[in-house]
Amino acid sequence: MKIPLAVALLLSLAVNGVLLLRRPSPPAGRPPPASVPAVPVIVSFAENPAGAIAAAWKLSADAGPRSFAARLRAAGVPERLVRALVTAAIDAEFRARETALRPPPKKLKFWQADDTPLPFQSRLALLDLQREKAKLRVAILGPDPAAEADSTYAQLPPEKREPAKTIVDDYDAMLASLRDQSSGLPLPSEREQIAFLEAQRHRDLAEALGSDEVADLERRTSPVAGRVRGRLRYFDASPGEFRAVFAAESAIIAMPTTDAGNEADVVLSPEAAREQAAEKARLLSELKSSLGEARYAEYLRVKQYDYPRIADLSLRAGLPPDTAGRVFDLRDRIAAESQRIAHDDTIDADQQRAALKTLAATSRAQLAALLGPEVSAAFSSRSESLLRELENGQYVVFGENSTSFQTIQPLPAQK
Amino acid sequence: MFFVRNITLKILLLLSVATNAVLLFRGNATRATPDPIVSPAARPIASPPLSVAPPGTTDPAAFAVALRSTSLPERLIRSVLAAEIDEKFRDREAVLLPPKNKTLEWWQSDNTPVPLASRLALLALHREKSRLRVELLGPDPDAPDDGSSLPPAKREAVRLLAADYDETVDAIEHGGISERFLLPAEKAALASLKEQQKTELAALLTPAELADFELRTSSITEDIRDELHGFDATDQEFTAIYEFWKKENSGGGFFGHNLFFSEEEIAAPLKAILGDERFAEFRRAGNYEFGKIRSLVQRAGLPPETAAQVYDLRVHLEQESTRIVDDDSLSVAEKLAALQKLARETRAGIGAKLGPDAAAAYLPNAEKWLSLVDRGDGIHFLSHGWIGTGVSLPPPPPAPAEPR
Repeated sequence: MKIPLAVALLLSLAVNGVLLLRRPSPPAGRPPPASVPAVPVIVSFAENPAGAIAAAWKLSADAGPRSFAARLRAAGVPERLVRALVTAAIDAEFRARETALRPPPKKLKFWQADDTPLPFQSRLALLDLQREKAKLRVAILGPDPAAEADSTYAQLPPEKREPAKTIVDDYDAMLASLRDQSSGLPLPSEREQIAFLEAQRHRDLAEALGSDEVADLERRTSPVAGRVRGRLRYFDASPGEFRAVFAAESAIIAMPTTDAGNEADVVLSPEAAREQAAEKARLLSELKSSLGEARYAEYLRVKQYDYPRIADLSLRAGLPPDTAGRVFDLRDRIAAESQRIAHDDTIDADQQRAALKTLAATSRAQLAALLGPEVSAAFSSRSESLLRELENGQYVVFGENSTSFQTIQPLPAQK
Repeated sequence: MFFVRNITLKILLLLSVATNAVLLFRGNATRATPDPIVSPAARPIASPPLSVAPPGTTDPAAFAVALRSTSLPERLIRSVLAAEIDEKFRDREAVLLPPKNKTLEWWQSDNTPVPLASRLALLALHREKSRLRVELLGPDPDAPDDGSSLPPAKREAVRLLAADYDETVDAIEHGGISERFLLPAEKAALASLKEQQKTELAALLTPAELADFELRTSSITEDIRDELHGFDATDQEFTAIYEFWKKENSGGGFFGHNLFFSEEEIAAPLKAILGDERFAEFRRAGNYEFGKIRSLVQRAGLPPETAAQVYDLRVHLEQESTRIVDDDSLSVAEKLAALQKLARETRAGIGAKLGPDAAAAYLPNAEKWLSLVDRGDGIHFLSHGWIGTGVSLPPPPPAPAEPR
């Protein structure tokens, strides 16, 4: 059968159309990220791991880390290696720009320190670079498992955790470095720089998160939260208790320090110092009402210098968790008994001294029974300093905020 | 006419079939060619030795050889090998650590202790891992040049050795608690670790290298580096200070001693070596307050000598305030007036030397001691720049009662 030429031409043109419209299909396997074109597999990781990585690098050498990641994934490279390789590739891409922002290292002797301050503009530019780098890393690699595992960010949706952690880490490192550099004597310009960075940190967080999320995260990552968290390490606080302690302590920490022996910012007038003391008392009283008598007493106890040390020691030694509390109970009983003896008008001074010696001996035995020989030995540097003072005829008073066993007053003069 | 039309149709048909062939060929060729972004065809790819087992379960040494036979940059090779080594040790490390408590809220701390035996086993594991890192990764190209004369591979081995031991010692000594109470077994373990580290170091370095390493990393050198702000010791001065301090030091470090500040006779041999002027600079450089002033002056872009000038005003205030308080020829009122004048002059002097910006940073802090002088105290600064108890004036006699 003869096909007319016109029909054959029509058929051929139709085939032309079909062939023109036909697109090559992507390779099978893991779909590449939307922004990266599908890439062919030159060497498979399963067949030749080193060859697959080298081929991916070679083929994407001019195309940047995004293409590198796509090729590594297409070749079947495990994600943890993709992360390591792409992070190194991104670091390499930014290295020259970062180096240009830092002052060239000085040729120093090994006993000399380089204390050249980094200009603020360089700090800001470095911060921008870090942010740019982090954005690129998240865009290519997705959330960092380390940020995922950090409970501080657990309340955020997974995709927001790493960006938020990066902002907090970058700004906090920069702020810490600025504060450290100012050695407690910030210039007016440095105060402005610190305020600027704090505001910028807040703005960047607000861009990345919702306003409720920012407020919550600011609370979680604030220096006060870190301090309160440390203090309440052995307190087992409920959410409400933590909030109450946080509120009181952040208000107290915000007060100017008046300790003349420390890095005081200001010297308060006697009137201002009295007002501050009254405000502090009011805040603590509010906290007491909020926690209740018993828990407030526990809070005061866990804040004391030795409490976390005894708790930590007893946990390491496998003693019951309430050991630290029992040691503090014993400590308070010793103090009360020593005061009772010292103020006992029915006995003379020699009898008082003898009674204090007996108290030291019985207390030493009680402590040994409570802690066992090993822990007693570890704790003896502290406990013996108290017991020896009792043996020397001293009695002991612990104030609400005293931090050790050392506040020992001499006996009143012999009557 | 029909013939001409027939010829035209034949030509068109031929062209169309040829186009079909071209399109068909191009389609196949497109499927076989990688995307044009990276134009791979022009680049030959080296064929590394096969390392077919999945990384993490294979011998990282073979993987390192395979990677190094390619043209992959060294930094990438290091990153992938480091990840491989981490993976190789991950499970063995995990069994030595207590399981993570995933029920903790963000404000709660995991207080589960790591047993001492696990700590020591972790150290052994980390040492094994570090040795493998040195073997496979070699020296770190990004490590800062510390001027050490050690060959780069040894430098890396020593760095990792110090890091492994420091981490373990810190975990036992502190574990997040300052001034931890140590159990007898922990004290014994720390002493043993010190010896073990020495032995490992001695096996790694020649005696000359070991001596140089100890000099560079000793606590005395660290003190000189961290605390002698701007002293810029010469080679001879450093050696003199180091040797003197090594002989004198009873473990208290620079600031546990009175060398800088009061006990002239202790420091006399050093003074003889450094000379009066450099010795005075040495003592001033070690003063905490001077370090702060020096940093402020540097950051404010003032001439470096300003720091010493401001510091000298402070020294003058100390000497002069004590002299006034002790001057029996003055009445209480005269002493108070003289002390207040001294405080005013010191404030003004500091302001003039530092200029408005740096003075705004320093004076509120200096008010801690200036205000005491204003109130009638003599001032005595202690070794770390802190305020002493001062020598207070006796209280003025009560004013005579006004007649009613």
